Amino acid sequence: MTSAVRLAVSWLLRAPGRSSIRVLVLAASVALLGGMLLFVGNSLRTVAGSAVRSVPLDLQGPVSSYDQARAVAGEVARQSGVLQASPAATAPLTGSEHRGPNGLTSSGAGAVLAVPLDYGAHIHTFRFLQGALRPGAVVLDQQMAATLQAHIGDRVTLNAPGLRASQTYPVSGVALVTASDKLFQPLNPQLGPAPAQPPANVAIMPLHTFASTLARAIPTISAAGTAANAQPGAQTGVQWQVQTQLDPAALSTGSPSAALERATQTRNRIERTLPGRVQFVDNLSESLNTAATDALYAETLYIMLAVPGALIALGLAYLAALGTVERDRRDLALLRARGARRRDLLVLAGIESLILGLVAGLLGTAAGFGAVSTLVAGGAHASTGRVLSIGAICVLLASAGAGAARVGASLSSLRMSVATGQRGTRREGKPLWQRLYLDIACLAISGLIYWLTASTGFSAVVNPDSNPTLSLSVYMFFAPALLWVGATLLLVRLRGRALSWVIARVVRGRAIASRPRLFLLISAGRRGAAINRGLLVVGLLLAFGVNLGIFSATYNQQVKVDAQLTLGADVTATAAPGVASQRNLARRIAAVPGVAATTGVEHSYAYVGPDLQDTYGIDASSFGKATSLRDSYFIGSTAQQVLVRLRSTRDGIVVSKETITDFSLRNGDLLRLRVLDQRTGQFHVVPFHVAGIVQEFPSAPKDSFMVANLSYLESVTHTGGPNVVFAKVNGYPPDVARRVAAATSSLGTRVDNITDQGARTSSSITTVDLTGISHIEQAFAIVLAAAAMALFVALGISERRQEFATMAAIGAPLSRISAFLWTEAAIVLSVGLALAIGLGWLLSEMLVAILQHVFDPPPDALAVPWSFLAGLAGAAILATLLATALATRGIRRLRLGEILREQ
Amino acid sequence: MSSGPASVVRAPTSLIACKGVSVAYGRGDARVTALADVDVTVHPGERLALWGRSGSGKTTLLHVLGGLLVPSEGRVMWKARELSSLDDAARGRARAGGIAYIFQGSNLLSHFTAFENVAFAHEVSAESADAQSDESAKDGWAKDGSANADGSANAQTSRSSGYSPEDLLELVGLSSKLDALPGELSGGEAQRVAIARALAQSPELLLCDEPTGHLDSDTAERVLDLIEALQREFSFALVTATHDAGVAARAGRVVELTDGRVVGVTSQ
Repeated sequence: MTSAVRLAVSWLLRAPGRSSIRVLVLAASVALLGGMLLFVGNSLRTVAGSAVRSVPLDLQGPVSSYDQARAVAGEVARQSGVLQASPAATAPLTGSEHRGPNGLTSSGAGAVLAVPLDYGAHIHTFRFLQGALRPGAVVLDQQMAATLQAHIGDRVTLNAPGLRASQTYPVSGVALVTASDKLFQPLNPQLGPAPAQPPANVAIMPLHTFASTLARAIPTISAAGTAANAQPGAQTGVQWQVQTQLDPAALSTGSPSAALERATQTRNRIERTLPGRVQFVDNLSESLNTAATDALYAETLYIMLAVPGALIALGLAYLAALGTVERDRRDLALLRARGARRRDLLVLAGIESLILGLVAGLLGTAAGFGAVSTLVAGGAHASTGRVLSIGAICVLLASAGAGAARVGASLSSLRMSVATGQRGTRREGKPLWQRLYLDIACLAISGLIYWLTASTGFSAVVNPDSNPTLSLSVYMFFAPALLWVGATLLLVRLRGRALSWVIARVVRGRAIASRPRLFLLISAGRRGAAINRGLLVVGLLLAFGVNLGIFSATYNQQVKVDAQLTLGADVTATAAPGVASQRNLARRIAAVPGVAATTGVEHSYAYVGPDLQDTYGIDASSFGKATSLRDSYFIGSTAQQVLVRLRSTRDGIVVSKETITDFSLRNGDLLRLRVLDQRTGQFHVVPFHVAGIVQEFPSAPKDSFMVANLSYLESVTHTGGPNVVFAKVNGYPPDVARRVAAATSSLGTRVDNITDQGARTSSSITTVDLTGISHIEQAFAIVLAAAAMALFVALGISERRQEFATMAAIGAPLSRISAFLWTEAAIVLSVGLALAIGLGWLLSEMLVAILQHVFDPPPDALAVPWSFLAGLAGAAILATLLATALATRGIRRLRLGEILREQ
Repeated sequence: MSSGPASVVRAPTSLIACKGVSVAYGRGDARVTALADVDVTVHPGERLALWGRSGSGKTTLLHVLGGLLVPSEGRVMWKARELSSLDDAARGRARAGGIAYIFQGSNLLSHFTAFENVAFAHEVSAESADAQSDESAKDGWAKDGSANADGSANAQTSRSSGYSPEDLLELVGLSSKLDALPGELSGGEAQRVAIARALAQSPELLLCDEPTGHLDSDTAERVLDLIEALQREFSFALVTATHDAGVAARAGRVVELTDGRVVGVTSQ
């Protein structure tokens, strides 16, 4: 064994240049995988962190009384891993009233949320738009405040079931309740979370105030009464509870599965510590469960993106090994002549591969770690164990790749040692996969899965009554995976026969002696298998790059679109009613450096028949400049057409498809809405004319809403102008947002930006920033594609050196000889680019079809990163030019005498 | 890449001549002398054998004569022009225009059929002739008249130049194998294609390196007969490197080599 190791080392050292190329190629291949494994680990932490942060209220434990709620909350708060535990209560309201200067205004049924004054420290189920909680006072949800036309300082009357006399409270603030589906859900620890239809009117009051007033009259729901509050939205009494938020820092250090395990352990420990006193409805676990499924999906997605590239890169190792095949053949023949058995040769190849794999694996791990640290936001955080395991995987893969390439390249030499005697009877048959048409089967199944994905969708959106939950099938990934496999096998099957066939048709019947270029084509046609080998690696690597580039660009574009749709624009500034127009907020923001355009948006409500809908007042002439509108947001018209129609129709209104259907409307039809006039406090009927159908709109909710002209809406509501300003920015949104916040801080605005919003989108998959890993993979694709072309040319000269020497002996000039290399390189490059465009585009289509269900709205079309694609093609072309120029120089330096003696 | 004006030596009777040629490989202790101070002259239409054992330097000398190898010392004069001082391109043109090779293993271009192998050489030769006449006209090398002293410096005079690739393959008896790839030919057939290819270069000098080394004796005999018949027909000078005394005996003059030195010249 020692002598075998020594021999293997001496083989590798004898050709240091070629050994280095093999090591570098292998290292690049495994670095891609190693980097991806590191990235996946980081991504899972991001997904877990996002899932933890996205839950506004982790645990809700129903209890029987106010006292019990306070006592249990105090004990829970002392537990480790708990960030905050607060006693709270919810209760139904039968109605509310407000007597203002314009008379009495009343609202329908709603709910009360009672919380301690310090509730908002870590639990964010609502946020104040104005004012704050004050003892003895009430904070109204903005919709309820709008309906009652109540402002801070006004007094509102609340009615509750069982309440003999209405209770009147001063208004101390206006808030936006953001987690009403959780807050008012029925609490049954046995059944788990059951997000409820949010109440239309919500009043928030201090817990103590609630306990001393409303709670005395309203019956209490028993903590153990599982049936008492089982129907969502049908709360009949006071639900005392302990609301708990776990420490996110402790949960975000691993994958969603690990976070789920830790969260469950914490919950169980608390429940065990307080036996029989509290059991929790676990909102966090549900979110983490979904995130764990998404994490599996994300892992598959990322691996799906990287593995083909790494595998094709191993094909480069095969090309590199082919460069030494002639020398290896001679060495193996010599060993065979000296009595080495086939087994000995295989052991030798194995040892050589292990040495190469060890060096390349370690180098690749380091390169992968370095690339992720440098290019991925947040760097590469991995425990020593994880680094070691990734290193071991890389070494293993590199050794396997080196071994496969070595055996593949020297197969004939290895076979020769045992099969020489059988040469006469041995027949080279088609391999099993070719006889079974595995390539065609893979392509057909891939097409079928793609068709199913694109047309019917394998994914399901469950629980449509509340927050849609994403549930995706990993089987969808079989479409691109099988396309990779099928396309590769088909290329192997063709072995350049298609190229030979085409060239044979081109040169057929032509007088070659008078057309020197035809010799080049004839040669290329007969070397179809060799060219195909290059095409296989170069074309697939370029396809990998194209697929990666298009997919990443589309992914990033959709993340931005998703975030923009949720937030409304690159930067938004929300202000109290009246402030925006009185203090000229839009103009102030427009003056901030980095802001390209602004527009004001008024958000209010109006009744369409009995249905209260969000209504947005926009300035149609400036709206398109301050935010992005996509044609897919509208039905039957483009975004531009709808804006033009709104501009030209003062009382125009764009409504949802549901409204169009329910009221049998068409464009231009009259639509009478009941709009709240802030001046009179009365709803009054206002005529509008339908100007279009909308299904998505910046900052609008998922369900029905309407968009009208801001000036017309203001003239009928008298609200005092827009309450939100949308801004399109030129720079980095968080930076511009900071400047906007600084410039408008005196006006009490709340400023949000699209980048931060991107990390809060509903799907945990899209919270992962693919930019860094895309850059790594794109860099790998460019380098590997260039290396593939260079290796192909180098291999060409290595394989044909005797032919070229013969041509030189005949007297063929250098330009004539090198033209054979140029021709083959040009064929591989051009066909490879064509293959890459076709296959890469198809793969991107498939991946994006899978992601149709991740993004809202789905992409209109694939985003094409022209600069990256140009760089990829440019790198391949440049590498070809360089390699061929160097090869031409190499031909000039061929030692003709020596080569022509070789037999 | 231009060959430029070369030193001109008036030696009208020799087609090619080596004067004090030495070839050495390596440096220091590893230095190996393949040829040492060799003088050989080949006359137009002459049949010469380089005879010696393996490692005697005959193939090296053949490569020096064909301009495939530049000697470490000495000069090689090709039709009164110093071949060894020319650059790669000019030496290539010289080969294409009059010096042909037949190798031991035929060295056919494996991706070309028999016809294409011959046609390629034919085409290279024709292209070279055009380039050479253009270059000569440009650099005035032919203007002093010395280069034409032997009447052949700028002209492709071989009688085989008028033959098409098909004709040449018919001449070597392979008109039925035009479309056969080298791998589909027997050793003798491949060597006959190599002969046709050499003829396609309209050679004035044909260099054969153990042309029958891979052939059985009957086939070898037929190949040698063919080469000699063609030499008679086309009047090119024939230099054959061989270790076989029988093959050497067929030449008009035999140069015996041992350890890179000429140890004897025998005229027959």
